[in-house]
Amino acid sequence: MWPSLRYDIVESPLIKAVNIEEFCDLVLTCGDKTFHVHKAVVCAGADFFRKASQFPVGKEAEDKVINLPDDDPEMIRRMVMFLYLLDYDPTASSDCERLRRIKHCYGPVEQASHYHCRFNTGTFFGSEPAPGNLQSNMDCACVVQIPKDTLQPESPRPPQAPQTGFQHSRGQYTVQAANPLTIHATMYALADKYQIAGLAKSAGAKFKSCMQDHWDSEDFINAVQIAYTSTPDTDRGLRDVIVQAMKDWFKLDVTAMEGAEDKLGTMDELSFLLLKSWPKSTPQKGFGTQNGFGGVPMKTEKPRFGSRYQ
Amino acid sequence: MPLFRPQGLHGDDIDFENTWSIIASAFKEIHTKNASRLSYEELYRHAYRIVLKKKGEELYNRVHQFEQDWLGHEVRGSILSLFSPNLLADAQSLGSTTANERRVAGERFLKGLKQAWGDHQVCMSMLADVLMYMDRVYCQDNRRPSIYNAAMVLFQKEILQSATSDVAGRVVLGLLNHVILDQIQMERDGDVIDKHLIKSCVYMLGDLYEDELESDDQRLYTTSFEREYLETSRGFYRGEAELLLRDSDAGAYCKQARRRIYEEEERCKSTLLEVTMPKIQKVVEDELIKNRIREVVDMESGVRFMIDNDRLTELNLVYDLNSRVDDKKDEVTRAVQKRIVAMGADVNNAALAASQAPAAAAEAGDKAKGPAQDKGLNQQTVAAIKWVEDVLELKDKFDRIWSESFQSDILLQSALTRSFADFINSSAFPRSSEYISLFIDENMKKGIKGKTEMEIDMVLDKAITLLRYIQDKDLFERYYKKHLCRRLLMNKSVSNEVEKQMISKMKIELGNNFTVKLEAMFKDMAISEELTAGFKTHVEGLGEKDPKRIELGINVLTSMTWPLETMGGAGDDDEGRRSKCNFPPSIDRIKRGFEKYYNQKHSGRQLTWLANMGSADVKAVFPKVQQRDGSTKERRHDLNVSTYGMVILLLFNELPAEENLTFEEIQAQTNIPQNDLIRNLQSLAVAPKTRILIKEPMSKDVKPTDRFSFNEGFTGKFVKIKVGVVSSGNKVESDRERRETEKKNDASREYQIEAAVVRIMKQRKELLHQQLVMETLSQLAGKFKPEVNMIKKRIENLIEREYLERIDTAEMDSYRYLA
Repeated sequence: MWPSLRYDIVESPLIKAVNIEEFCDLVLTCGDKTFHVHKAVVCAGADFFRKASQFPVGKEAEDKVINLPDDDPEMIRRMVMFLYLLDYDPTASSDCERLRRIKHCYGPVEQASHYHCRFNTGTFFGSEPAPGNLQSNMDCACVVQIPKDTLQPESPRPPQAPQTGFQHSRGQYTVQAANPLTIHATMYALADKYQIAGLAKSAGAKFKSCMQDHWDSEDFINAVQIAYTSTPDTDRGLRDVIVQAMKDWFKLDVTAMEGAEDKLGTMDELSFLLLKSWPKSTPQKGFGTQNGFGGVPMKTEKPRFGSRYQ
Repeated sequence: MPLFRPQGLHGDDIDFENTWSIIASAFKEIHTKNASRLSYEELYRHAYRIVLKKKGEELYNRVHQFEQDWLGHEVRGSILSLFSPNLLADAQSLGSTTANERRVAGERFLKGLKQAWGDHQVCMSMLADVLMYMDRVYCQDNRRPSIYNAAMVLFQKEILQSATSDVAGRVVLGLLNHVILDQIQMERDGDVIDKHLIKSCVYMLGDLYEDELESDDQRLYTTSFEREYLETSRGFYRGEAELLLRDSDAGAYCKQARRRIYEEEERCKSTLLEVTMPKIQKVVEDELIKNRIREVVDMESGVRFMIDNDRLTELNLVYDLNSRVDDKKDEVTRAVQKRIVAMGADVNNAALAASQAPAAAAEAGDKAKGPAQDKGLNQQTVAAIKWVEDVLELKDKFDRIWSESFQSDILLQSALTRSFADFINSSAFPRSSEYISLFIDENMKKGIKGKTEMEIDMVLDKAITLLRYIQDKDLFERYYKKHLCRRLLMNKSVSNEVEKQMISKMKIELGNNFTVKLEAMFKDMAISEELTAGFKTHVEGLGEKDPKRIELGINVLTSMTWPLETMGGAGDDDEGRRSKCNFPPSIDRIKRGFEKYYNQKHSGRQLTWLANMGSADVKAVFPKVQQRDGSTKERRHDLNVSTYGMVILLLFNELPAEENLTFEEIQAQTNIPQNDLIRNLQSLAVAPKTRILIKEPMSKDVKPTDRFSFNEGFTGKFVKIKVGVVSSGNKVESDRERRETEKKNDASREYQIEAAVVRIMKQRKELLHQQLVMETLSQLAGKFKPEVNMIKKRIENLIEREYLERIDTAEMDSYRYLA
């Protein structure tokens, strides 16, 4: 057999070049951050950069500097990462290692109070996915790299969790971010704004993967706002995930209420709390008891959201 | 509280007017070519925000309005400034402007328009870059054309459709078409024009559409320019065709037509769009060729002239042009066929004239001396051979034209073949079969002497070539057999090998059936040689050598194979009378000897002696007479005479000198048919060089009352003397003979038709009349082309003889086979 050479074994020349800032022919600036990048990568990956670099009467083309004053520097950092690696943080714990290759992989991150464990329910045992459309067997994309290992306490195992199943333990030099939904929603908007090939799909999938562990949080509220205000109405990518999440966990069909979805963009914390407590009377069926291996023992007795904001 | 400000823009409504004014001023800079160091990111971001805030439509409309204003005021103004009197001058008012003035003004206009168009495209592509998000989100979601395309339509409306001040009331587009067409016309007239400039404007028309649907057939180029172009070109070429037909010859016409086609092709590549190529080609082909080819072909300098003068290049041009508009090349084919038939008819008529003039003379002197007639017939043979050679020459000529001018076109080849067959088989000229056979005969006897194998082969191939055209192969076979028969029996062939080669060539060309009888003739000859030799040994074995023994050379001919009935010369001879010839006893003895010998070998075979066809060598002794030098001695001559002649001469052996025999006495003693007797006596007593008998009274005609005696005073220069008998060679038949031959041929045809009909009916059992006729025709096609009437008669005859019966119940005529 031929030895298959892949960039996860051999260092990609492009990553190497961006890490040591070699042959870079374009500079991206955003707030206090500056990224030396390669036009070939950036312009091929995003239509916006291509047009900007070619605009005949623009200063960007002349200076070979593109300033992005309107965006969050952290998000731009993630975007650059994506353009080179097709992934960004936070990501699934199994993909985390890959991101370490690029030097832009570290950024300030708000850590979650606990490291939530997670059972993989589907991949090996062929069980039904979690309720609705949300694929709970996807690894929750909320893990980020940290340069120095710090301890993040694990949240207690849910009592009804079966002994079998697959549990990701916390990897070294990784923590779970507190607000992955916000990050993914923002990245999704960025993909739309700058026409970054593949990013919308990646961010959408990550957003969906985090929904199960993070729906009950302020992060969710913020993410909903971003999703509903920073992409055109016709873009259903995140909107569908949110509507489905409402159905699954709030037992609420937002689309059935006239005009309710339009208001999601301006939803605040109070409305969220009301929304959440609204359908309490309905028993929550189908959690963890759908098959012999147990479903997703996700729902803790005490919502984390509550614990943080009490 | 959230740690960072959400990306969402809710709450802070953007100030549309402000944002638009930023964008608009940048656009203005771009249009006025004043822009530098704009921030693409900033402009993009503004547009992005407007669209995200659901103000896409407003933005789109503003940009649209902006462009409309810009084009309507700034650009239109600059275009209007290009108008000049020279530009607006109509082609009709040619007097006021020269072509050059118009060209300069036109180029200025084209340049200005090209510039405006180019600027518009560049600016719009920059605007479209800035408005990329609007195009992607707003335009797509609302099914609006992209801002770039919308702006192209605007250019169409605001600039190309805007009115000009010219007399015809044209819009700019019309003027543009007019200017381009004018320039093209200048180029057709020989001027040099700026093709590149025109092409730029043509590209513009190719990029613009009638409406916003942008379907391919709605391109301005197609809907507006191309249509006009084709129309004016049609008019131009129609005029040119008329002019050329009036002023030039056909060759020049074709050259010009081809050049025009090539020019238009080039024009589509260099100046216009290639999609026009097939269309303009069709226009040129229609006007210069399709509608005119007939006239060109029929011109005085047309195809006939070209053929007659071997203008191969011009013929090729005509062919090329014709094949462009007509796969079948009808016009050229028609003209060529007509010419072949006409030239063929000339050849036929020449041969007829050559053969008839002396024939008439011969007929007049028929009752006079034989040699004159002989000469006349020879002249006919010459005419026959000349005919063959003329036909071959004609064939060579057209073969050359075919391969060099007609690109060896298959269709034309078969047309040529048809035409050759037409005149060769023409009913006005019934002699082709005979002439071809005579041509071979002549070559077999003399023509091939001293020729190399290759040359001989060429001669034979020529004959075969002609043979292919012959429709009535059976008639040819009849003549060939007759001629071959004479060659074989009289030993006239130069080479037996070549004879056999010819046969095998015919076998390849016409099939085994055709040659089987001819081959049998050769076989008979070979067997006869063996018989002669065998008989000679047999006689030698009988006993002492008899000094008076007569040597016998014999040819035993199978009666079905050999055309014996055609050999007597006089056709009315019948077997009974011929056999009655009384041989002198010495001859009769050897005849009986051979019959005995032959019967031993092949019992039960009937031998019939054809005395009219043999010849004999007779040693004749003439008494001593005074020689010129005064001495006297006996004179011996070896006389080569016909068998009849020998029989006659032997009569005089027993006759005392000074006595004579009357014609009637000779006839009574020999029983030689009267015609043969007359001819033989003519050659023995009338022909000046072989006057071995004396006739009284001396005249050219032989009458029953004439008396004959031995000419003791005969003198000859040579020891060996050949006494020729009139009409013993292969010559052209007289008309009477031909009628005879045809009658015989028809009889054999009747038989063959009957055979074919019976074969067909035996297989089909029942058949419609029409089908039966068709099948009979196709079965016999290889041999001859029977007349339908003859087939009908044969069918009637077969019904009478109860081979067939009519089916009475059938709606259409049909027959049933009776086993």
